[in-house]
Amino acid sequence: MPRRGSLLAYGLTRLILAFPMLLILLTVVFTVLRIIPGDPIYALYGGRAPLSVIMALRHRLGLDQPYLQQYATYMVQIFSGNFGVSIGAHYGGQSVAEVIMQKLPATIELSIGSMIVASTIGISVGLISGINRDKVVDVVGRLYGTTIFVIPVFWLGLMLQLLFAVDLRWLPVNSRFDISSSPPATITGLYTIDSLLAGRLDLFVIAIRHLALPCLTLGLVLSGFFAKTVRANLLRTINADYVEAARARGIRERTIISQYAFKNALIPVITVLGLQFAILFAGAVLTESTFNWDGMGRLLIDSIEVQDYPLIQGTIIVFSFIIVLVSILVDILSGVIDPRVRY
Amino acid sequence: MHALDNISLDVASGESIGIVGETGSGKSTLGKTILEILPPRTKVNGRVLFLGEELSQLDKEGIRRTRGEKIGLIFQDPMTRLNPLMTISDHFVEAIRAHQRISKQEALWRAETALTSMRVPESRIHNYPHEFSGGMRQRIMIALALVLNPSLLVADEPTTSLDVIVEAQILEILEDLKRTYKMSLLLITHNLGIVAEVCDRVAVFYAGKIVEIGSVDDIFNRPVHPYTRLLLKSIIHLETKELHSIEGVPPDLVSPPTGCRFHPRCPYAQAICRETVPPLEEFRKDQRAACLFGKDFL
Amino acid sequence: MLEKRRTLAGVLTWIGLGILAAFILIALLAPVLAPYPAQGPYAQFLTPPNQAPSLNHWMGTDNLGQDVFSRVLWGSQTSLEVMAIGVILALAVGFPVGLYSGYVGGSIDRTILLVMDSVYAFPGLLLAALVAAMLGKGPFNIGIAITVIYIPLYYRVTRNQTLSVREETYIEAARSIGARPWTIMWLYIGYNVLITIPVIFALSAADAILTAAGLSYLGLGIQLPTPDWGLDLSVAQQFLTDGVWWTSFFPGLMIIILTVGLSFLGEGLNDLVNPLLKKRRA
Repeated sequence: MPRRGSLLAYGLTRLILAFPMLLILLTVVFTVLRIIPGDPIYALYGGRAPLSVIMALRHRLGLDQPYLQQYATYMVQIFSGNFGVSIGAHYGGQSVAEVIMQKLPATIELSIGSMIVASTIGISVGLISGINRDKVVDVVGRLYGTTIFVIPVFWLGLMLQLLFAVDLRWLPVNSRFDISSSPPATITGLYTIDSLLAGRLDLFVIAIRHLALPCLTLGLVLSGFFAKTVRANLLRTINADYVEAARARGIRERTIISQYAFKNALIPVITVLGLQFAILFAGAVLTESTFNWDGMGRLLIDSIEVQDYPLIQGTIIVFSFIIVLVSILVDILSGVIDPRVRY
Repeated sequence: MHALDNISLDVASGESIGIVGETGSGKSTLGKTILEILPPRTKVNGRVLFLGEELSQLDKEGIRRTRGEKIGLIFQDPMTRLNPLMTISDHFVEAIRAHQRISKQEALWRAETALTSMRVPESRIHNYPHEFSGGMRQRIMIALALVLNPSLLVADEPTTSLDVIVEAQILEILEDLKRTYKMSLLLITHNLGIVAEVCDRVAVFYAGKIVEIGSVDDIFNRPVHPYTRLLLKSIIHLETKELHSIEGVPPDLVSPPTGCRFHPRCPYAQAICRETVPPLEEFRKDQRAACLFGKDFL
Repeated sequence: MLEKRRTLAGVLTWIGLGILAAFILIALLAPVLAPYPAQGPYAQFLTPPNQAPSLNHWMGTDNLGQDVFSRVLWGSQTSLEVMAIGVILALAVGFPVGLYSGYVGGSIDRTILLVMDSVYAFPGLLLAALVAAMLGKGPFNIGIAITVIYIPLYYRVTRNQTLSVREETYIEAARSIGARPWTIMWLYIGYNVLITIPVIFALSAADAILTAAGLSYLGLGIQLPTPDWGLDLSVAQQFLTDGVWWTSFFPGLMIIILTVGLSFLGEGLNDLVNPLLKKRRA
């Protein structure tokens, strides 16, 4: 049984170590947004508004202060949850934090769904490939792993839309929900969960139908990584010494594959999983554009388009937080699965 | 490539036989052949008779049941032979229940007994493999092999990666097993010293063939085959004044030397040794060697 | 077994090189190869817009009546240009910094490493989008945006190689004969670390193409009317429901072929270089 005590200590250690990374990310965001040339306010209003208005806006946003002071204010604001107010066309006047909280569940739903698809397909392909090394199935699997990873996710999305929505008409083309119905009452913001919580199976089906193509698109592209990594690691573990020893003890082949080879092969996969989340978010931004998915990705692009500077900053910061959080969770997960990591 | 060529051995109940040879002599392959855990594309010709039953005729399930329960195998490198994700108790319970239908409690109890007999503290049964030293792990492996009470134990270089003190302890355990449980032992090693201590009979391997086989007493005191004699001469004692080694390197098994495989390195080789493959002849009672000039070395 | 694997790596490398060379040729010869102009008044409305592929227009026409085939050929110029700028600049910055960081070690190294790792952990596309938004659109600025996200990669690889090469005996020998640190860093270590660069170059180039296309797709990259694969895809999206598949299929296909080619090149080189590295260390 894993020792609870040391797992807690391990978790806390990872939490503390992640803090500098978070600070650095926030600083990088700050640097890009404020120090790199290109004043957003001028860009937004330059030539179309009197200088006094521009100056007033800059003052309100604190952009006329010296950099260090801005940095201090920036850090304080972030950690007190104050992300400012949107200045763009779409969400002008609303609290950035509120807008983000509205859009975040959509991205979470998409991310989780895609990860489920990616890991299921990817791990299965990797497993079958690894067990049948060098046979036709393996060659196909390897080809799959290498090529699917480099397919642009937006192109794949468009192709799947063409096939399933336009040609076959099995699934809706885009967006989160049918126009004709109204989504379930917001508890988590995830339509799937909320409809189940409300006991509305019909709404659940609608939500799933809309979730299908985006998750399939993003999931397929991400599955390549899983397939490749699982296969490579499985080949390593299947010939491991402890596998040979287990066989010599008369352990069933089935048990050997699952308990010895496969489980050990998954460990390095989990370790790299955290990195995959960064790719997931990049893919999510693109997928949300393709499918008109009303999430954080769309929000970011929209705010960049109208140069809604506080909203851009807020979205990126939230992304940073989530990435750091995910990396902590993945570290802890590693510790749960692999006893060697804890000490 | 033939890793093993024309091997014929018999091990009596309660007897321990040492298999001695250099790296590449095929001795490790022997252990794995018996239990059929060879790499996938290996072909095996021959029969293994165990307690009257022919192992090569068994189906997959039959072989599986033989492994561990009737014939045990301990490996050379204990550091990598345990599943890092399973506790020691998991290993034992799994091994026992793969062969016998007993409760988890009973299996754990048996595991504890086995560990204690190997002088591994039973309180650590729930630890993970990485928490043990090499010597401990080897003892755990032996306990794991023994807990199923096999009639034959194949030990493939069991002490090679361990220091001499731990080695002595392990050897003591093996001797103990022989005495107490009448377990047959097939000890595979390159170390003549431990063979002398633990075994009743010895088979000397060279390039995949048996070159000499007989009792420990005969082989060590009255060796016949030139290879055996050179091997014995190369052992270092306290009185050793000169270091002796055998010239040359073990042959490539893909294209072995013609005739007697030892002839390139044999100081007594004649022309005929290159042409004729020497058969295993009995030169003394129960001592056989594969040398055309064996008579001259008696 | 080993020979088989090495020739497979060789095959991959050749295929990859071939594809890359083909695209470079296409980019250089686009003016000659393209049957129609790809942008401007003479390109538009030659034929009715959104026409399916036909003998006159092998890949059909887009919503402005422009020939898709021509746009696709011309698009290779923009893609290769952005990729080249991005990856070469990233190498130019990441390589020396990695070399220095790995050689010097200590707290300087650890600090730089922490910064680089944090940037590396951030989604590349988002960071590039951010930089592009601040710098403005156009191929050069996108190139810079891409540079920023690949610097950590080159840094990391160079640093790791430097760390292992640093401990080798010939470095010690160089130091003992009094070679100056700068010389050691560049001539001895740098020279030997260089061998790992082509692999990373190819793989990051593949990724850069995808990122650049993504940026254009999102409207943050190349702008109309310049022909660009990602850009054309975003335009094509609007007409998808009308069954117009060729305007999205073909530009995407080009992206895939080029990326797969670069990816093969990278993997093939990797299989070839790794045994060499191991042999050297042995």
